[in-house]
Amino acid sequence: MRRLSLVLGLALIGLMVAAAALSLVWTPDDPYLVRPQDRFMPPSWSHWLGADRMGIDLVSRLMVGARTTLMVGVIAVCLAIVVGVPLGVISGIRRGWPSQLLLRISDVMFALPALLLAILLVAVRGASVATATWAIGIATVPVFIRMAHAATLSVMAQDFIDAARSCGASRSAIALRHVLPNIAPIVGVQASASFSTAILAEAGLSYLGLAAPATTPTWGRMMRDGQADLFLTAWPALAPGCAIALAVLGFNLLGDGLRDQLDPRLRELG
Amino acid sequence: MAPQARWRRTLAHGLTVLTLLFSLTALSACSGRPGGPDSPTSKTLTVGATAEPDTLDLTTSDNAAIPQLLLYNVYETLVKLDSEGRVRPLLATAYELSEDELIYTFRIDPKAHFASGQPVDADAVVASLERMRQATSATIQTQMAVIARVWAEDSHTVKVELRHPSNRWLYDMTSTAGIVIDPITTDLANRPAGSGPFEFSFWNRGDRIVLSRVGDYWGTPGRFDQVTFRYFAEPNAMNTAMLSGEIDIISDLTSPSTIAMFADDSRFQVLEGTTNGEVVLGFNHDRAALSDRRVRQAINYAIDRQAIIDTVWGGKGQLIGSMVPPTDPYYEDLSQTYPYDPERARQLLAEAGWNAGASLSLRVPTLPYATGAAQVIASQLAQVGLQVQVEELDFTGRWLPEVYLGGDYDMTIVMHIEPRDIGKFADPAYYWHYNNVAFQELIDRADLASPSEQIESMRQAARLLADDAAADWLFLFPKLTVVAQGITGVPANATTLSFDLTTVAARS
Amino acid sequence: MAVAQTIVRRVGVFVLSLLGATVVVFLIVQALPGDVAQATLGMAATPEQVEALRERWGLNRPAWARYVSWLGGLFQGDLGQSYLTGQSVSGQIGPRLAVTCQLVGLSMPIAVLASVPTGLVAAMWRRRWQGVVTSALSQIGMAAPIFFVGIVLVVVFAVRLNWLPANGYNPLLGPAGFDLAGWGSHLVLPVASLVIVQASLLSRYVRNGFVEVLAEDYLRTARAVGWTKWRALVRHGLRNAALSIVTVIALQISAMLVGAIIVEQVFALPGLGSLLLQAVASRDLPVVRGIAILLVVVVLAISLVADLVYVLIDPRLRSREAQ
Repeated sequence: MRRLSLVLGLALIGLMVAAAALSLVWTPDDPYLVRPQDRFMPPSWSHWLGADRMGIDLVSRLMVGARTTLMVGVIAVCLAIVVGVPLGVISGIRRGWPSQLLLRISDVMFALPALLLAILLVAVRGASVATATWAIGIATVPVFIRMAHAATLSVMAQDFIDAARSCGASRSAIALRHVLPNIAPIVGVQASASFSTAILAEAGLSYLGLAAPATTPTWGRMMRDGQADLFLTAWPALAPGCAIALAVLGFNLLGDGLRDQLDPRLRELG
Repeated sequence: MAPQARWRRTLAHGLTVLTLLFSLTALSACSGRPGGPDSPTSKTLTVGATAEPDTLDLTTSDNAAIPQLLLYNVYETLVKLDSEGRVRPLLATAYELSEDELIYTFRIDPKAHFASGQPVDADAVVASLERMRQATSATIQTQMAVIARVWAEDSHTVKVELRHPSNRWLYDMTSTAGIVIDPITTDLANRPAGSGPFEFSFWNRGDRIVLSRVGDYWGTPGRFDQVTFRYFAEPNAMNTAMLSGEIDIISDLTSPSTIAMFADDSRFQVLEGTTNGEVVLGFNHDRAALSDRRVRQAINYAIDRQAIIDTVWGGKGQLIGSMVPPTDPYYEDLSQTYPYDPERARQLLAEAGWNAGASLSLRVPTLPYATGAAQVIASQLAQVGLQVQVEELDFTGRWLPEVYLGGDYDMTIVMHIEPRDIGKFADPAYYWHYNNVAFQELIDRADLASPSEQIESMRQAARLLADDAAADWLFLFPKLTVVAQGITGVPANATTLSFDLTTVAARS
Repeated sequence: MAVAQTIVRRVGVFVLSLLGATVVVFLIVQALPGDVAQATLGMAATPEQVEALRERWGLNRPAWARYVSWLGGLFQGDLGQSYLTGQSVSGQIGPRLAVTCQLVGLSMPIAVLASVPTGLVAAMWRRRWQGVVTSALSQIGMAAPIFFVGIVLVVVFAVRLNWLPANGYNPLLGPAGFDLAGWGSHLVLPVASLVIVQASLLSRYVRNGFVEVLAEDYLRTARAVGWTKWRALVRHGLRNAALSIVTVIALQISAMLVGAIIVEQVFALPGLGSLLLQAVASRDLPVVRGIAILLVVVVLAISLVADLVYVLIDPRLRSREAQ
């Protein structure tokens, strides 16, 4: 059971990555080619999942969309990790007013709903995948600050830190040698969770017209376009919908699996 | 052991069922019976519309949603256009123009009175016209600038003196600039008051505005006790409201890819009307690539406009080929100037020495027709080796300042709704930066010419634009209205800014 | 005493955060390109007309002066005036906030109530079909974009079955008087969409809360003393589950507001979301600022309350604070 969620999660993510990678060299059809005579075509040999309102092949578009959707997640989560984790660790090791100030600023940023940030960013920079990625990334930074801060505090309370200190280890050495390796697994779990949040956020922003333009296939944008045609045909909405659900499921399962692997008590129990 | 295990299993099953039930409880937790839209005793009408106005003050805002709601329904004008486009009396029983074509005299119907009971007299009309002369709305300001003086001759006669003769002005008086406002109202933004068959009742911001019938209206009374305008930011929400019978009319279908679901359903009828709106793929003639006529023509050949209409606008809309809608007197069919011919397009691009790696920007506002058409155009131009970078820009925040005012674009798509707007191509400062002396001379000549010569000059001008591929006229925007069976008299054409309720009725 | 001190300190931090938030919000909103004068007058306006309107609305004053007068107003509970309607911003936000509150206020308790039994089932029978099915359902609920859940509900219950209205809002106390049925029937589907997504998420955390308890030593002790697994779990597990819920609510509140805004869009509800989108589009900055600061205050206040509740629920934390 424990293993199962890890394996299943990795399998789903692997599938997504494989589809994205394959789309770089091959798709069943041109993912941008408008074919008016094929619009709303149900699944067939020429279009395995059917065609959308523009007559574009859905499978090809899903594959290219996997690339963009993955990219949104990877960049947003990396941004959050690169900015959030060091700040969280530093504020956990050096406790003084600058750290307190940092945490309070992060609280304020945390309180700005991602959507508000996205609406304002889009008004400034225009709706695009990049803008949506920035908005999601910025909104995720405080999550990692909080998490890394809390994790660092609990590591710092351990006996081996005192031991390292008494051996004369500097703060940066402690951070790099002891804190980071110890909190890395938790960062991994959080990254996995944030990844699925990012995919869902992209879909939500797309629905409100705040993310990718129609010419850039992302799963969220495909769903937005598909839902308007739901009364004529379900495929253009269902196909990206299922892709999103499976990807989110994959990252959630991966996160669960990772956490269970890491927590010895739970492993014992399972 | 055994009884305990059984008990435990029962509990397990019970809890699981409970779990599943919870999702259903959630559905009915705050249940009530579905509210039917109307009760049979009072006659009501619900109209779905796309853009809720911020304010109802016509003097400060050009927002088309305001006249859609108020013009002819709540506010009336001195004169009104009939369906053939002729000026007809409304509040004025008659009007005269002096010999020198400078002074208009309006005689006001003595029966006319406001919903408040106050009479519509010369003083009220003068006060309204003065109010309009002070308007901050750019359109009304421009339209009223021609007035030199307004005064009341007697209690029911108003005279207006113009600075110079203008036929245009009387035409403007049939629309927002000509409304007569009840002098007792102080809050035009929130409580409009006029002399029409309906009066403003209440406004749930973000949701609906309700008009109610004026009991003692001075003319033919309104046919509904209550008319509700419901506003939907999301076109799909309006469609589902129509499908589930909560609204009677979709005043403007903005997601026409779904038109089939209404057209194929016997509960609805789809009205297709014409507008003045040319959807233009505009070129920035200041850009070196697009100053080459061969490149512009290649783009025209490469785009299958019928395919755009089919995929983006549900097969509705008309091909035009130049900046003239079929309702104009100098219209001729130029839609076949550039038939869809990708081979010819490639050839022209090769002649122009087009570099296969180069790309053009297509910066469009986030409006449904523009973003949809952009996707098709990008795909079709890519087929002839012309790469297009599509960018969707917020209309007010970025498209207006950057594209329209700043000229920072290669190509863009926007609809031009002003009547007789072909003249815009004669202005090199306008955002296309189209500078063609021959064309400018034709337009100038048409302004000074006799009516028959004018038509000939305008025809030549339109032909010149098409030959020069000054732009790509994608299609003429159709007005699509969806009406529930049993509702009659809904105007199909967008000849006025109003959603005119005076002709709408429900078959009982 | 220590608890009181903690409370005072947290409230102090809260107030300082608010002050910081006003600066952040003002700066971000200020950065919006294009302005309300141009947006109102549209394509037909001449530059002179735009300039005149700017002057009239005081848009030409320096930014710091506008910040100071805005902040001054905030202290007196005055959010300023909308450029477009002339109405006070608070008067405009009020009715919208009420709708959003009804949406969140109805769906939160239902989601919490639904998540405890489901989480319990998923934890107790982790390796049996009951637990697996419940876990799978909650995974699906978490993985579905909320607007899609809403649209599917509309298609099924409003369009196909015609049981409920597809969208729109009916005030409880409308012009037609007290209308419970109309109000309720319009809220069923939006609330259900929020509940499905939120309960799935919450039940996941509740499950983990219970699973953690199952591993605790005191549970073994309790069972050794002769308590049944159930009795022990309910006695000790519920507190842990409650802690999980409080944590998640504090962490998820802004996600919930976002969910509510999207749901409002799907169901054409006149909540804060549509006002925000409309105000941004027409560059009515006082309204944008008002909503932004309101959302931030709500989220900060809820995390403050969650912090305080945390201190009160968890005796370990309380003693740690006291040290």
